Amino acid sequence: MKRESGLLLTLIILVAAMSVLSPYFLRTGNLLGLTRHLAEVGIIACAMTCIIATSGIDLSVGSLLGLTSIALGYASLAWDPASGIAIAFATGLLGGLFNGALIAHFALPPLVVTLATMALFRGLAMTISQAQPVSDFAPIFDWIGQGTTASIPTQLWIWCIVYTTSWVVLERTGYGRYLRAIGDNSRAARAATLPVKRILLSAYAAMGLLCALAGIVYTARVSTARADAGTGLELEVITAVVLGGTSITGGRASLVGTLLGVLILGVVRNGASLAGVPSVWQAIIAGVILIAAAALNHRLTDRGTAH
Amino acid sequence: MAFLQLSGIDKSYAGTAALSHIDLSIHAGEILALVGENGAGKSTLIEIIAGMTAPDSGELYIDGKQVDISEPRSARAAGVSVVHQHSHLLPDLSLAENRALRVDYTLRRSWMINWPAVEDRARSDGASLAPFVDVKRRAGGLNAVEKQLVELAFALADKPALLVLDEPTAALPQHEAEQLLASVRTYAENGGAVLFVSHRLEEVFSLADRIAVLRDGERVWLGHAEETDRTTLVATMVGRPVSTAARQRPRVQVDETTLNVRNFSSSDGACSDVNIRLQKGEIYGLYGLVGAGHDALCQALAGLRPASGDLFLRGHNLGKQTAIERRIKGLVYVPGDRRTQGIFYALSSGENMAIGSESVGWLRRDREDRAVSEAIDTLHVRTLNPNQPIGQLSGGNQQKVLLGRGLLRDPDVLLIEEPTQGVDVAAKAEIHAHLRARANRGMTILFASADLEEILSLSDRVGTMREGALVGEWPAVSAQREEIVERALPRLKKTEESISSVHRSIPWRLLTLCIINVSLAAISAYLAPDALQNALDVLLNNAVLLIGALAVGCVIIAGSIDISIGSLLGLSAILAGLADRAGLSPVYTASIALAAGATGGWLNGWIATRSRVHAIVVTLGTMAIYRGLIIEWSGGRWILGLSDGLRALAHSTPVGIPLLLWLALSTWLAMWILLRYSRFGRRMYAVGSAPRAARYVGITERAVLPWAFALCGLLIGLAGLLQAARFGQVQTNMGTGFELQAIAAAVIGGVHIAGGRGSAAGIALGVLLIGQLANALVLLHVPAYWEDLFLGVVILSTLVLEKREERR
Repeated sequence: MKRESGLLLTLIILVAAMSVLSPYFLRTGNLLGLTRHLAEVGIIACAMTCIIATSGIDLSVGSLLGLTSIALGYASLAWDPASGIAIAFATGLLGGLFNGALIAHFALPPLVVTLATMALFRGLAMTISQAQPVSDFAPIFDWIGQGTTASIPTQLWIWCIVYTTSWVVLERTGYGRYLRAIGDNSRAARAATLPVKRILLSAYAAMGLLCALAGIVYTARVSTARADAGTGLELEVITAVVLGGTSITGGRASLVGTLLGVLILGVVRNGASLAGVPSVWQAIIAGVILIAAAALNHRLTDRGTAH
Repeated sequence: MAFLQLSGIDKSYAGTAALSHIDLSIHAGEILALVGENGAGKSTLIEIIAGMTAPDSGELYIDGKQVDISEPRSARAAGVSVVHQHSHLLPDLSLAENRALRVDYTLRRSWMINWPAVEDRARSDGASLAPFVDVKRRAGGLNAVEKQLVELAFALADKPALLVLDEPTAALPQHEAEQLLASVRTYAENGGAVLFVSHRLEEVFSLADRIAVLRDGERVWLGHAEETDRTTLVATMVGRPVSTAARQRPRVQVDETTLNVRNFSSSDGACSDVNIRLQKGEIYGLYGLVGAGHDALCQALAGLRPASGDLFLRGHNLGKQTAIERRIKGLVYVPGDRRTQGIFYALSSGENMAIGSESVGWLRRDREDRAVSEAIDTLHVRTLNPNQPIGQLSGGNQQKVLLGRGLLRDPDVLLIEEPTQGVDVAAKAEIHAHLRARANRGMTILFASADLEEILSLSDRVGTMREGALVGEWPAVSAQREEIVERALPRLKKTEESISSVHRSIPWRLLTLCIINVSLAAISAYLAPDALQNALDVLLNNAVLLIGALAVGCVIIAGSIDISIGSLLGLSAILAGLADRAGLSPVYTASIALAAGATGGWLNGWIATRSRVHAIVVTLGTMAIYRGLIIEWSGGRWILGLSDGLRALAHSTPVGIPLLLWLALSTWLAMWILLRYSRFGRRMYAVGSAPRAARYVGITERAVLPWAFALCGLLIGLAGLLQAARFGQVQTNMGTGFELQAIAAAVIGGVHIAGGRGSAAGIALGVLLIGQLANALVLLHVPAYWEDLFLGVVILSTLVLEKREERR
């Protein structure tokens, strides 16, 4: 919990600094707008925390989001919003299962597999849409992407539900314990007859579903289905997760940390742009934060245990 | 004067003393045997002498001078050669090269490695013990016997002042073992000092001048071999007369077969045609030397190794079921090597015990806590609470936690491998007593152990395994120690059997790539209006990719990864563009681009090795940073209208062929030479192949990786420069997605993602394949965005095919 308190303190200081730098920062409109974008990162970060806990990684999330966005666009234009959403979820699930099957059943390295599917999913999205965006969506999407429920942006509710569910799964179920155990020592997990393959497969499948959910939210937010949606999203998500204290070598995961990581990155970005920092520096800052946080993680876990 | 003298050596791990206050000296021309039970501290002592582990306190003297052996290289420089029980050969390198790494390629006269000379040297060095082995073979392809003989031969060829042998004969058939012992004797007669660890007491008595006994990290006896005999020595090692209480206790005889194993063989041949029948409440001990298959049998019975045959548990045949199904039916396995196969360091002690007993769903913490604390009580685990990190527990308590994990699953039959390895005497007795109590309550236990005393004191029945077969079975009360050991000893084998025949591997991958490339070229030639021009275009379009794939290939061969190369390429190009626009000459411009690339690459490697953060995270970060710098320095604008001087780098055509091609081809040639003939190139293979084994020959990731990254960066700088020269302009998004193409080309060309394997030739063929594929799509009028799709498919098919080849 030490790390989480540190992150919380950082967040508070950042918020204070930003509100001094820019009078607009603390305005409700700005904060709510901020969460609209963060929801997509936050939803995927929940699943990414679980995947990294298994000492895996998924670089294909941005591409899969793009693919589901295109699937949603085409299906909801051709039929109706409900089947659009269903097809988007089906697409995400298939994409995730594809990653998971290659990683779990063929025992291929997640890094290369998802690097390949990053190209594959993006290529599919481009091919299906012929690189043309799709717009003209039913009103229900405005409610998801731009509307509010109980005066809070709808996607914030969705993010809350996803986050709570993920937290319960990771912290309160045997499944969550298995995820961490597999990441910590996969040979021991096999020797202890844990269902390693099924757990890995389902984790990547869940990632696919959440990519689809984030894809729906994204498409609804910008009212356009685009094949290049979510480009570079993997960097943002992995940065938030690593910043939150989840170890890239597996075994240790903190969803509370991930949440704080997402918020800190969001505040830095939003605050920086309000304060007139050019957007390029935001990317540079994100990169620096990622490396520094990972180095810090290593220091902390090194001291904690010796093995 | 003693050659090596240890004085007051202390070493402890996580609060448990592995060695306390060891004094020991070894003289020239003397053979000193080090004996002790498993976990007595012998391996730790050897690691200290080998320079792999630093003692907490105490001094080492060599030839009377105090030395600091903090790394294996300095130990070897001081004249100490160590042969470990497990192979430390680098699996992806040839035997000749493994030999050359030990002597640091000193054979070479020029900076290029003279492979024929290296091979000759290895052949003559290996001739003493391993004359049969083809030195060009990959070390990873050798079997255990071959590896052991090769390592011993190489160690003897070092002509060290002190030769340290850790269980040198454990893997050897009798004939080879005798041959080896003879050479060790000759070596000592010629004035060499030998420190020698063995469980085979016959060897100890036939070979050693003096014997030192370690027990629980202390030196409990030291004297001449004549001053003791076998029984006294064993008693000294064990520290007390072997308890026979357990075996003499009359067991309630229940005539009810619980486990019946019929014609059971593992697919890899580690155990074959085993038949065992276990009664309810019986403890059956499987004895065997290292590699005899007793541990493999446990794993196969548990379903963790593919096997055939029948396995009846209370009449139900589980032979075809998975490990998970067998466990649910009551056949529970407790692994042997707890560090690598047992413990989850990220979980608490309590979680480590409970794992596997819970459902995948909701955790019932209260019920679980109760079960765990019950188990903690019965097993006498001295932990304050189950929330303690398991890494802080002593070896004995960790072992009890693992045992507790097995017991919580309420087994009918417990399969245990090495139940008390590396456990202190008190914990050992407790574990034994507990297992006995469980058996008396009806649990059936099958355990494998290389510790004969444990076998005799714990079992009701003893079976001995040798070379995968069950070769003897006795009731423990009437079992004779000598007979058991005699049966367990490997028989004399003909050399032809233990040494696999030599195969020259055919480079299938390169052949396949060639065939695909030739077919693609044929298709393109058919489709293209001007076949020659089309071929030239393909080459020109992929010249930069070739350089990039070679760059990232180096890093992957060295066991790492760099995904920032796309951004770095853009950054170098932007800097080249800016320099050119500022009116600098092409020479300065080129230097700036190369320097920028090399610096960026080196920085990646430096951060990754220093902070020990995984390279993927580091380069994901620098990917964003470098891309940000591109926008910052270019002001977000494209740089247009580069000078003709710079453009000439790509477009001038000396001897009728574009300079771009010349540069790409000479880079390829340079990298081919570097990877194959330079020391640095070979060091990249070494760290990528097996970092730990590389440390033994003095090659550390810390010394190699930053330079591998810098080399990668340098090449990327060149790629950026050429890209700018080629297009005559630099876009801010230049190089986006380049990392994917380059990594794909390297992986398709046979660079193994886990490091240690790959070649410049393969990379070139991989680049060609990607390039031709893209070209074919263009010729077929398929839109450009299909390319990504195909790229993904090609990478994945390569990976899957590679995996299948490995499994075969």
